[in-house]
Amino acid sequence: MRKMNTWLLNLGLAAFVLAASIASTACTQNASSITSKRYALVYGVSIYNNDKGEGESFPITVDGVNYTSKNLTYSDNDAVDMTNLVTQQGWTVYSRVWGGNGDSTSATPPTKSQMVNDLADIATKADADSTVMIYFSGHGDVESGTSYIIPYEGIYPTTGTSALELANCVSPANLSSMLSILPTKNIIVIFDTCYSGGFVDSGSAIDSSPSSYASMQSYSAFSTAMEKFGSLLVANASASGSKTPIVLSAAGSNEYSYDGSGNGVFTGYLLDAATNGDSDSDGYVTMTEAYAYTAKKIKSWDEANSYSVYPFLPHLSGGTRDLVLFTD
Amino acid sequence: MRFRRASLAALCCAATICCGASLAEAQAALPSLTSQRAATPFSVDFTAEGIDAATWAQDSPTLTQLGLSLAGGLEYTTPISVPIRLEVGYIGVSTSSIASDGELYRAWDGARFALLMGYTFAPLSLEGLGKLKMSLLAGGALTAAEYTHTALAYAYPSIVLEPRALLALNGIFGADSGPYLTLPVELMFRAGNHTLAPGLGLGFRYRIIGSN
Repeated sequence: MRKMNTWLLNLGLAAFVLAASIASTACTQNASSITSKRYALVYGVSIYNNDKGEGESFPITVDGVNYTSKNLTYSDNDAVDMTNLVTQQGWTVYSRVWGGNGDSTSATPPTKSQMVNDLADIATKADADSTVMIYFSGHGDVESGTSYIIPYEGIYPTTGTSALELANCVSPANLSSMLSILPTKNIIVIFDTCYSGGFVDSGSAIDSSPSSYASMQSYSAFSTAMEKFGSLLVANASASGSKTPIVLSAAGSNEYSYDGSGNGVFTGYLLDAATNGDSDSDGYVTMTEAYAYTAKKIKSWDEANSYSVYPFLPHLSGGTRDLVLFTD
Repeated sequence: MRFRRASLAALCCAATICCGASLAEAQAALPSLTSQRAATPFSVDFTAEGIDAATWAQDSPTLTQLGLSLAGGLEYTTPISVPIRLEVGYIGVSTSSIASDGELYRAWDGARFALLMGYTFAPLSLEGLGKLKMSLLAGGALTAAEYTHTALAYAYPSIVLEPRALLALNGIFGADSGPYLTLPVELMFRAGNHTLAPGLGLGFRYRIIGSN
């Protein structure tokens, strides 16, 4: 019996020593810098109807019904500021901005077809370790339960009475198809549009923040985990660990996002996160840190503006992985 | 005196690593302390544990994550020295180190529920000090978690192997009560990824005494 005791004990000790050595030797240390190539596609559209200036309304038909839409005021600023920031941080940037006041940064407008072309070009240059970011600021819509971002010509024609042209808009399925040509798993998607939460896949997790925060109800990820323990375990068992893009949206799938002061509310805080969002002070602002910072700031903004606008919250896709977004 | 010093050193320097071979020769040199009241087969304990975990996934790097676990346990010891242990606690694990391509793993925290079984070996006498009781436990755990600083909830199962060494000091706390050192290893199955989490824990166990 004593020999058996010794054998069992030694087995346990050997398992621990083996595990400890794996943990201590097989691990990569903190990277002193990001050495892989980084590509950013930065699109912003303020002017959808060329007859009108920034912030001005114009008639639009959607499914034969007449509505009023308007050009945005700060989406072009968002894209210009994001372009400047990520360029400073060493990204190779494909910037297409369509706005008033001379803010357009490219002769080629930020259309869906141009997005396809730019991603195809990035695909020829990127490798398996590259990071690719797709940033868009502009209008978004939801039709038949599907979210869309609306690039230039998504509201078409661009003069007179326009119509929503879904073929020129980008749905989650369109985006997934576009991204499939990239040779890397390190893909960041950031959308500052209404209804952009429809692009966020929580995977085997549950996003406890509501798709419509209009009632400003409280929520808790931990409470959700306890309440839905069984279904989360089932979802975890079927998770493949697939390398889906890490998506950060300005708003939920049933929420508006808003122009703020100088930038969109969300993008303003996102840009601010580059300098103030490094919560662990390691010199890097990850997508999770950027989410945490913008969510905290927008909650405060919601509370301050709850009587004049519908509250909204950013959303973040699920999964164990994260990516560095900004460096300090 | 020399023996006592050696015994203390063996305990402090991960006693479980050193004394496996000598355990077979161990004799209970001192009679165990007897209580005026009978001990029940139940004990309760509290453990604080540091974790140095490694997370990996297919086509992704292996990266380290540091963590902390606090747990309370209720243990039933059968007459054949087989403990059955129920454990409830908190686990918090930090963001991982960052790979050169900018990839990393998220921090998480949550509530952990574990059920473990094992075997308690014959005690090793530490002359004049007390007894060293070694156990080896194995089992499974379920954790309800959130990715830290997000609104994302998830849950995952894990398997656990846990050697532990309890120091029952003469004349203090009772025969089966005292501080212990534990070296658990947990393999977590998280959303298609794996995390191997060896830890080093310190705790205190109290054997529940029945009424007269």
